[in-house]
Amino acid sequence: MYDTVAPFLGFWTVGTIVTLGLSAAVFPAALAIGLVAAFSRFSNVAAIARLARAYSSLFRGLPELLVIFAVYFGSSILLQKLKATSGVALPGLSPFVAAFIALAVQFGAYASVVFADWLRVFPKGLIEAGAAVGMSPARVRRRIIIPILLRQATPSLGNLFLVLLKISALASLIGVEELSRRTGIVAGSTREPLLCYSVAALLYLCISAIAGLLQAYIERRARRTGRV
Amino acid sequence: MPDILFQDKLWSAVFSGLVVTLALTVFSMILGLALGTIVAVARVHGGRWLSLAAGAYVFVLRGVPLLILLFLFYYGLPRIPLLRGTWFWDLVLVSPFRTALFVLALNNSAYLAEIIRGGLLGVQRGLVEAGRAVGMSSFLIFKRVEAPIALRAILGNLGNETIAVMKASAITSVITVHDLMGGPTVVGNLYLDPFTPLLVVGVFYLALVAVIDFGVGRAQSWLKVSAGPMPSG
Repeated sequence: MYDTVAPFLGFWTVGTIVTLGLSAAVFPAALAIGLVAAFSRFSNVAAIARLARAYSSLFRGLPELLVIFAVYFGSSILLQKLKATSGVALPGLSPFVAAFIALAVQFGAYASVVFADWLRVFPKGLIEAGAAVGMSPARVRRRIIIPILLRQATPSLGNLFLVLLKISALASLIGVEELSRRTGIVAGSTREPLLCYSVAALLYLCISAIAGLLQAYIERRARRTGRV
Repeated sequence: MPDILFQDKLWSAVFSGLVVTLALTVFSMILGLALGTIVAVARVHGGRWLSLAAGAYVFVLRGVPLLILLFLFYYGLPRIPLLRGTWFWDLVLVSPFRTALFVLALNNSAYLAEIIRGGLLGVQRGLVEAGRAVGMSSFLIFKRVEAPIALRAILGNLGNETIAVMKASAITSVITVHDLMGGPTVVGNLYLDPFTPLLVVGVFYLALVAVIDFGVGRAQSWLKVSAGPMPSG
């Protein structure tokens, strides 16, 4: 049993690294998008607030698979049109970049809901204190609100990351060579799908378990330093 | 390019897919709730080993991506000769739809078990003790005290989980289930236009979410009305 998969272990390891890399790249982007969208919800301009709410409810309802396909196929159609109309030929999005954009936009919407929930109950006194010492609203946001918000939201954001790790498996369906895709390739060439998918399941479990331990550690630290 | 919008083939795929997605969502919620309740009760009320087993069940099913689980059941399990001719084969592995439904229900049950566990842990101990004091059996306490209170507390979460399952069911299209995602995508490939069907399907998914949100809202107000005044403190 071990002999059949042994030659592919290196191939598999690279796939695992791509899975981790994709999630690690998407997560900060999603947090940044989520922060901007959450602050926009409380904007004084009604149109911006409405737009931010529409964004999060749109992606709350769309399956991740659909968004990934839409970005991948949509971008290639868009680039073809651009070429036909203006003659500018841009290289198409690679599967990795398409998956990155799709997941960042979708998880940005999920993160914005988390942030908005915490912003709604954010202690007003801290914002007023910042204003009282002469900080500009932008500075209050950067120095006071965002650091506290990130600490308060740590548990929810940790769960979001665990979801992202598993959803990133869908990137395999547009050809990103991550863990799931490479498992499919190994399963095909060894004709041992049961063994190969079991190994993949085990690898994902290990990744989730390690990420879960990391989450618990970060939460403990956030609680120690982040008391408001 | 939008010619595909005038093809009957696309619309028949959309509507038959809609039925399949609804069936997957409804049945995997029902199965998931049944399984999830058992697992949650085992975790909360079971002995040390039972609750440990329930915890492992939740950990494994929540830790493995749905895609891998689907492939494991669709490509992997049929390779086990021992399963041939058993009830499991005839009931589950016999068609892609049934395999998809079973895997979705399994995955869903782990998430539901956590939600239900949270609801059960939120029931005040005093209420359970009061039930015991008037001589109710554990089952009667569960039925009359714990379950109704927990259900009201987790209704919103159940709604979100229903939406999550509906969205997740789109993944079953990769094992050739012709659901709302799968059917129209096949038609799109036929007409060399993979993009337009996605837009159509997206609108339908959003409509389904609106329907679920509406249903949960109705259920919440209905349960509150029939519950009478809740004991406080």
